[in-house]
Amino acid sequence: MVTDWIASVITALGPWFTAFFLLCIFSFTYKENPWFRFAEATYLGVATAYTIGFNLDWLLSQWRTVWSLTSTKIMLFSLALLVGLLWYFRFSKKYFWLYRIPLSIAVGTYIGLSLRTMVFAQFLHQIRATFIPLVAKTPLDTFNNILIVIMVLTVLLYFYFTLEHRGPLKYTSIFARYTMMAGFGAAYGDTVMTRMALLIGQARNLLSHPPSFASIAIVILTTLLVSDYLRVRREAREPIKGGP
Amino acid sequence: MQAGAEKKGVWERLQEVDSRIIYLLLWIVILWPLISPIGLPISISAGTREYFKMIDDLKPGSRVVLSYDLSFAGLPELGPMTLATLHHLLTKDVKIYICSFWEAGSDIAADDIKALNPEKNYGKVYGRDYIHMGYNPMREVGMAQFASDVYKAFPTDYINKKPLETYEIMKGVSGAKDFDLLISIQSGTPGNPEWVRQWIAPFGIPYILGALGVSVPEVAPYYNAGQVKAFIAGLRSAAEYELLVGRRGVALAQQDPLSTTHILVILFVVIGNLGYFFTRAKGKR
Repeated sequence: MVTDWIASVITALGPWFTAFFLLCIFSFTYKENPWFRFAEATYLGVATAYTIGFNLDWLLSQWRTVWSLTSTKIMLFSLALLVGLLWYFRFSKKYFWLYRIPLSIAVGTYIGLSLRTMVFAQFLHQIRATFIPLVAKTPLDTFNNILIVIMVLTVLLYFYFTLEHRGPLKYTSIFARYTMMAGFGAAYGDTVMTRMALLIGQARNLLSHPPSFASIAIVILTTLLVSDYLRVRREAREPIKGGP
Repeated sequence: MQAGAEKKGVWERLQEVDSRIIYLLLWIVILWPLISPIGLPISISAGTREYFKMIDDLKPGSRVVLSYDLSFAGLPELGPMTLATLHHLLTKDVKIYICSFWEAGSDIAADDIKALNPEKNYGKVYGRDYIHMGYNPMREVGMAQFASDVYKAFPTDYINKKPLETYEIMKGVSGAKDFDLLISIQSGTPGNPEWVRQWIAPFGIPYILGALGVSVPEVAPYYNAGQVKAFIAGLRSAAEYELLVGRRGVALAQQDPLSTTHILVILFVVIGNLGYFFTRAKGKR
């Protein structure tokens, strides 16, 4: 079968494609270059096509299983499609106002749905979580609880701008700043872990197929070094503009 | 040498080091332990134990939603924990409902199912013990739809493209209230706040999650408020969880380079700060 043969070839070439595009993207750490730009453009195209394809597939499955069953449903589905197509009037200066119809539906639905529980889920529950006993079972828990209460109150005061931060407010502001700095530090540490994990994952991918990794890395690195060498030579030969 | 040009000190030169040298050092500390593993010890944190216990304590017949809310970009960090979580669920006598609100999530879930082969390795039957309900593109609206009517949110399953109600596993299931645990492995939006708004606040379903390391500051307040019962975040937690479920996987294999890269970053931070203070002191003089 031809399809089986194509599938086996693509499967065999998989590690080579992975290594090629990974190294093209990583080559940016050396400098901006055509390898990187090619991989970036390819990625954008593939990712967009993947998203569109996947969503169209979902739309078709909805049509087949739910919306094509009765005439009322067909009418409603067609209406929804028409409203959806109005998004494209964003590119028309004359009929731009039509684009506002689907936009307002989307914004209204999202805001309505999230506001329904947001006050409880993301406001009241969070406030209630800071109502904790100042004397806990262990000294460490007691210390933690006191720290949480002080930090929450001082950070809230930090964003209180009606009064100038002088006198006692000056000291609470300083403490709040250190509190936030500690938070930013923790966030930075977590960010490092995530970024490194992504890099390690890709490095592992590359090492899983050494021939593709090594050969492609040599080709890309050689082209970058040679182009750099030629550029330096050319610059050395050319007289400086505006010079004597 | 030009008149007036001052010779740069060690700290000044260190602050101006070419970024390519830093990248090169980074590659060395990553590749070296991957090629020749060191085997640094790993301790298991309380958070990971909580996550493990939430799944391990599930009663027989419990219904669990496992939502793959992640993209391919998050796979190196989240992939090991999704696989370990699915493995853990498959070892239990529970019903698993897999879904996704991210395009790539349903493909990743299908890959995980293929890799674990539940029929052969766990004696599970598709449609009776577990089901892949597929993808819903409507993000938070889709989650709300899933909560009120699962058949509208996912009309067909992902594997066979058959109507959901034709499967045995769907008997007695209509929406969020019929589930005993929600697990979301997530790399962004839609993710934790959306689940909390549409599932946890209105229905009070026990909810645990796996997240990227970078998401910890965003998830921690929900955990403190009791909305998230347990969470694991990052490759490190995934490795701990792999140890607990007894399935050594990719996360454990990547712990050595994770440690060496962190040591390197700490070294850079220390050098950068020392350089800043020394050059500032010199400027003042």
